[in-house]
Amino acid sequence: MPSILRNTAVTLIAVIALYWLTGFYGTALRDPRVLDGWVLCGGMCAQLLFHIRKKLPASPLGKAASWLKVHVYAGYFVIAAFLFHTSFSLPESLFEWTLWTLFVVVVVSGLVGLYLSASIPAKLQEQGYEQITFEQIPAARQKLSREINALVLESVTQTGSPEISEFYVHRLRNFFRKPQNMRAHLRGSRRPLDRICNELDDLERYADAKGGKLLSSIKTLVVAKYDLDHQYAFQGLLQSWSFVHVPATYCLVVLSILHVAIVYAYSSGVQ
Amino acid sequence: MAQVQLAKRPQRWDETLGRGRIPADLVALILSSRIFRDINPDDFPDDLPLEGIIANDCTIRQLARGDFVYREGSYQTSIFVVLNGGIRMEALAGTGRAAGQGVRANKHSRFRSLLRGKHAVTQPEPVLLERYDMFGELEAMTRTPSSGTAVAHVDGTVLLEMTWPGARELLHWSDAFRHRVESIYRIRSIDLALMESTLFSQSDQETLASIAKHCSFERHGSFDWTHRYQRESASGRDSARTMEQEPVIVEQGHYLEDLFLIRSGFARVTERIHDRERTVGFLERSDMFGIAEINEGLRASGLPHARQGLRAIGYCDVVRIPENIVEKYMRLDSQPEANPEAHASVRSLHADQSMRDFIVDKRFINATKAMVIDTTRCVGCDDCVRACAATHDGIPRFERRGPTHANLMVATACMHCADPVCLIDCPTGAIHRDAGSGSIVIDDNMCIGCATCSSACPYDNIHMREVRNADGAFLIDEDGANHLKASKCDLCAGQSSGPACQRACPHDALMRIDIRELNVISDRQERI
Amino acid sequence: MKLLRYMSLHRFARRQNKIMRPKRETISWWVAIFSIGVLMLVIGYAADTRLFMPGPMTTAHSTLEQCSDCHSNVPNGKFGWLHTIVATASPRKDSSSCLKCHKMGVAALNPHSLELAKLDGYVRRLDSSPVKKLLPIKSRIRNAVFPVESTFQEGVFCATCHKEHQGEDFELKEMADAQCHTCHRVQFNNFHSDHPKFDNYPFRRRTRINFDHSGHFKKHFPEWRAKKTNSAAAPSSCTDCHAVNPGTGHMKVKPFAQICSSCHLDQIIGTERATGPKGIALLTLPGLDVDTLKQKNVQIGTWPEEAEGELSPLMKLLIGRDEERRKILEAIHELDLLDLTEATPVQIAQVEKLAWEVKRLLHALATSAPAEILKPLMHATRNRIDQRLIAQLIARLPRDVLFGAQREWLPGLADEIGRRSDKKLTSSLVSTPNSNSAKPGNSASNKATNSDQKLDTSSKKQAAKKDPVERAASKKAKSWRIDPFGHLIKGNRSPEDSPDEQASDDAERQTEKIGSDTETFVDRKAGDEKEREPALQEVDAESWAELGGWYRKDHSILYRPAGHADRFLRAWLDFTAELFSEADGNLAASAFKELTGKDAQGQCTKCHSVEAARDNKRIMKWMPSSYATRESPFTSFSHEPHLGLVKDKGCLTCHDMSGAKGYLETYKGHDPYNFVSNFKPVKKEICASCHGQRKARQDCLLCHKYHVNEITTPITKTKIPEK
Repeated sequence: MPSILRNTAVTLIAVIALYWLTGFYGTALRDPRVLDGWVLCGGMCAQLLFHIRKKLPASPLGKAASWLKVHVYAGYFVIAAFLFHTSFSLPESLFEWTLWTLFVVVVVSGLVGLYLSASIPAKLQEQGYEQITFEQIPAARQKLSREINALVLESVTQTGSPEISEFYVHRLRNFFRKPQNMRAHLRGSRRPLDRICNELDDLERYADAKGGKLLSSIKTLVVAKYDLDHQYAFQGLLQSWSFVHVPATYCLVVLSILHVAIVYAYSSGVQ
Repeated sequence: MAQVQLAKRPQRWDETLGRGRIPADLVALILSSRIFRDINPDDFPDDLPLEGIIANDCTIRQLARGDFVYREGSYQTSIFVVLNGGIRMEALAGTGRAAGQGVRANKHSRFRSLLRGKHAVTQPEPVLLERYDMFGELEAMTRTPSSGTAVAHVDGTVLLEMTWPGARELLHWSDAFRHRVESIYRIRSIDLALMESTLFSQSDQETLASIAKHCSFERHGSFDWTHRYQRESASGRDSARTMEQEPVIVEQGHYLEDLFLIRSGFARVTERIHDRERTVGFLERSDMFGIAEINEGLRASGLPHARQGLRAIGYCDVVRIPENIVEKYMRLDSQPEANPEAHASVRSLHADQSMRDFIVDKRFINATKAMVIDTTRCVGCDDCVRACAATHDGIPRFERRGPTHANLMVATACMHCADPVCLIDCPTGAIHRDAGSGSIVIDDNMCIGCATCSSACPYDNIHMREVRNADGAFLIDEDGANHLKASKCDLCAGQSSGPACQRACPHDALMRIDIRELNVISDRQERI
Repeated sequence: MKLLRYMSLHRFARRQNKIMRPKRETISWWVAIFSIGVLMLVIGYAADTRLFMPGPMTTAHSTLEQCSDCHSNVPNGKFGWLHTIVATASPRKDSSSCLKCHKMGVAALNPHSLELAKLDGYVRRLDSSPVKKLLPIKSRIRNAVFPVESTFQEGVFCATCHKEHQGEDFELKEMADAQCHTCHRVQFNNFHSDHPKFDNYPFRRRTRINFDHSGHFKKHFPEWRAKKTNSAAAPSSCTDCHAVNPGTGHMKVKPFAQICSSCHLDQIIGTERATGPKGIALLTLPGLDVDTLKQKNVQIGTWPEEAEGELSPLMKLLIGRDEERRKILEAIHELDLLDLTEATPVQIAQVEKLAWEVKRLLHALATSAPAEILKPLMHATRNRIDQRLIAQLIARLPRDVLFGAQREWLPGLADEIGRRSDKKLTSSLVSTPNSNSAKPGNSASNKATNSDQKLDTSSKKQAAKKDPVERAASKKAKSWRIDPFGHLIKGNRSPEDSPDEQASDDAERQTEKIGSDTETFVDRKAGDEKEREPALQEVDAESWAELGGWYRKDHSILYRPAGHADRFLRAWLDFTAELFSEADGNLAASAFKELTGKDAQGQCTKCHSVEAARDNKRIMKWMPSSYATRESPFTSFSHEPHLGLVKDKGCLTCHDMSGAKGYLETYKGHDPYNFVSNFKPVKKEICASCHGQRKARQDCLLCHKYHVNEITTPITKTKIPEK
């Protein structure tokens, strides 16, 4: 993994260089907060460039993968710049707290997103789920829903007994209607599925051959739905973090601009 | 803004690909020439007259001495006839060897020629072509890059260029023409095969000629294998059954009389385990089959038996060289022990068996620019699709889905086949190979929306889309049907920085690769 | 351009297709707009702009309510700061806000708050020190990247180092060593290992007070104790003489009265003096060879024949207060005034002048303000007339002492002087007014004196026969009469309203009368007066003035020192030191030498050292070294925290008696930097045994000060409540 080493080394060198430079800056009768503040500002602007690059997917400005790498490593650097800028201490006023919190939210959501992006696809792959894009999931769910409907109707017409349809009405209709048991999925638990399956097994015990066949097909659909929900949960998670990361970034940009304006208004001409 | 606009559907011969039509008097003159004299115009259907083909699908090229017709390695799909003057064909031994593999092939061959640098390479003498000689048929029929360079030998050279649609019609309708072309094709194939083979690189021109006398040319399968394959794959049978449909070239265990040189197409190398055949790998142009067995046979002074089987994937042209001839003329240092690399009997795919099956069965061996998505990396951000849409007027040219094996998804984007079957039946030649890059592109102006290519594509990677005018209104014809045009990945032709999808992928999950480089994927496990 | 094309494509794609996912973008934009809205509301509803403060201010500054109190460029009002985005901030202005309360002098914003000239001096001294001089590479890189020079030129503003808004209990004065390294070449972080060795610390010069510790410890104190008769005990510990200054923790020497006077007071007031007068003669009527002068018909008026003293140096200085008068003194320098038989006529003439100058001096002291006498001398050294100094030099001489002396020695002085000045006036009328040599600031009387001296030779020849012009002049003077105290009082007839002829007869009569009076005065014995007042003779004047003060003895007016820190002596020492010059015949120098001589009255320089100043003047060192007068304002050592640490060895832990010889010898010279100390220098190792050993602080500012001037807080201006 030489590229990880290289990138980490470059980032570390940059951080150390910044440390030295701020030291120099401070002893050169200037305010080091000005230097690391602008470095932080520049770093944040560079991070924003990635956002712009993502908005222009077809732009010829290099590979998005390289951009992401720069985004991530520059992000680490920006975290260091932020720590320098805050002198490794907590803020003292409400406004600063807001800024600080937003920055932390952006950073943490970014790191979480990075972790999720790296882990979830591989995890889903490992678990052997069929590849389905997030956008296709609702359609697939509807298809399953239609199929179960058809099966239940079939059960009514074929067996004439209401058990299966009643079970469907009470237990399965909601299950098939929308994503369910999200928390269990995220925990990796299969307990809800097992519960339904057990109940189906209970039904099966008293069903005739036809009913048994129908129930086993229903079970297949239930498992398929459960797996679909699993995909939905994780793929949703994969999308969701950026719904924190990006809006928080926008807010952070607004507050940062205000911060710079205020700092310069009250700077006393410090360099 | 009008939602629809009534317009006449474009027809074949409405547009010519940047060339004028040949005037009628000249057409008559051409048809009266020796080469077309034996073609019977009555063989042609009424809506496709011979004169029309000549006038619309052919063109006259006038060249001064030294002008290139095409260069070695370039992609050209026309058959040429010398009408006046002369053409010099310069074929450099070995340079065309890995042809069919796109740009990468050239790199490879250059590398290989370096490897062989210390050996005296026979420089074949240029062949001079005279009036009414035909050339270019090899490339046109096999859809491979040129194996030689064609240069005008004298001033005032005039060529008749039959573009592929025209040549195809002639080949199809006129038996006389087809027979003539094929005979030339066979002879040249043998010559080229010997010339490109490393086995005889020390032999001179005369020796090669004498070897050629003993060799034979065979075609297994057919050029347009795609429909059959589509039927097969639609039937949903497993890969073993698919394999059984493929014509056998060599049966495992049989007596091996000849050495096989693959001329074009692909061949599957199989091994029989118990009752089932297992894919070991595949062979492509310039690969040999049987050399190890022959060598062993020589040493054991017994009869060589094929240890593995050989089947044509789709179609496969082979040149057979009798065993005793091989024995007689083979270069001493071309013993497998001396140079195992050059004699790898099988192109292994650096992949496990199931992946190998997946690739060969799905015919992805054809791919030079397959869109392969690593599903362990893909987060489904859809940036690739967005990038594609952004470079193609808002309409993406692929879908982020497709056959998946293990962690690899081959998305439904044109994979720019080594053997692009979509080209075969295009009536206008709108879908064609870019002469420089070798990628398959569609000329929107020439496409008449006949959907031939779309239905020919074994991978379902060409889509027909509705045509809109500049205002966004759909164009419809007299019958109320939408105007269609074929649409597929063009590898972002015209973009200097390559395919946008690959560049847009932030997680390095999407790659456009030659399927033979799958190892690139497996090696590429590291992340940011 | 290309990018633009992509953007338009992108927009097109968005319109045409639903594959774009604008949800996140929409949310983000709304969040941004929302946050702007919230900010506007918060700022709008906030009471003031304290919201923007990055942190609370220190307690001391917490009463500064308005941002504009310090941020001078920010107008008040919630959105005032928006203005300053375009207006430039002035750090100088902001710093001047600080300096309103923290007064630091004019050079407050210079490095070390020092005037640049002084700073240059210190820099040069550091440059000449043997410690390594090359700027460390780190600093050189720093200077290349962020030049400091330009910042210096602008000034080192308060906020450069003192950064507010870091919390209520933030220590604004705390500085890191690195901040000193900005300019200083010798950079280190460990006092113990890297601080340069102390260079003869703390002795930069000899002590101002010549106190030989070693001599006192070994000789004087034992002797004193041996006498036993003395009531006060000799000091036995350091603290008998040294004490800690409670405010600062610095050491101070106890005052003379407490620690020295029991032995040295007698030396000052002259009790122990065996020979010579115990007072210093300010005025002495010099003895003249009156007989010879009479023979030679030199008109000096009355002169007591008994007078036999010499001109005292102080008097010489007073007489020789200007160039012309100094020439008189130079001319008679070699002459024995009591035997003028051998003297040349020229010399005699000078003696005559001298006699008149003496008289004039006495007369002037008694009649006009003494300031007039001292003015020419003062002009030589300073531009302004120091009334206080004059008072201390002469003016405290009681007038009665003066009059008593005059009555006894020169009873007709007023008349004589009146006549003499008339003559002088007339002389000046006929003489060519060639008074270029006169100093520009001189009074009219000085001018007249000058002319008088110029005309001396001619007036002498004409002395016998009455010059008609002279007569006319004396007639003019008739309008002035002299009161019993010698004051010139304007007569009832002013010269304006009386015709000259009428007045001339009166004047003649008057002059003759005074002339005859003079004759009688000369003949009279000086002892007559004493005989007439026997009651006052019982106590010797000198003994009477035992506790100091003025007295008259023989033909001198003397001053006996009134104890330590006698103002008269101190004033004269300072004054003559100031006028001191090595040049030959410098009257101030001889006066100074007289006052500082081994047998000088008061014995001031026995302890108070004399130093040579620039241009060879002298400086008296009155006060012992103190925190305020220390040579290096940068270094400060507070004894107090260390007192508990020294244990058995006490002060000797650091102040080791060296036993080096020659302490006293160096006081013979006047160079304070050529010295031998009683003590060994304090070695760095002593400090380093705690500092820099993880026992005690070791930062630069522990011992060194940045702001060398004292920082003062002005007292508030409170108006007196008048109602």
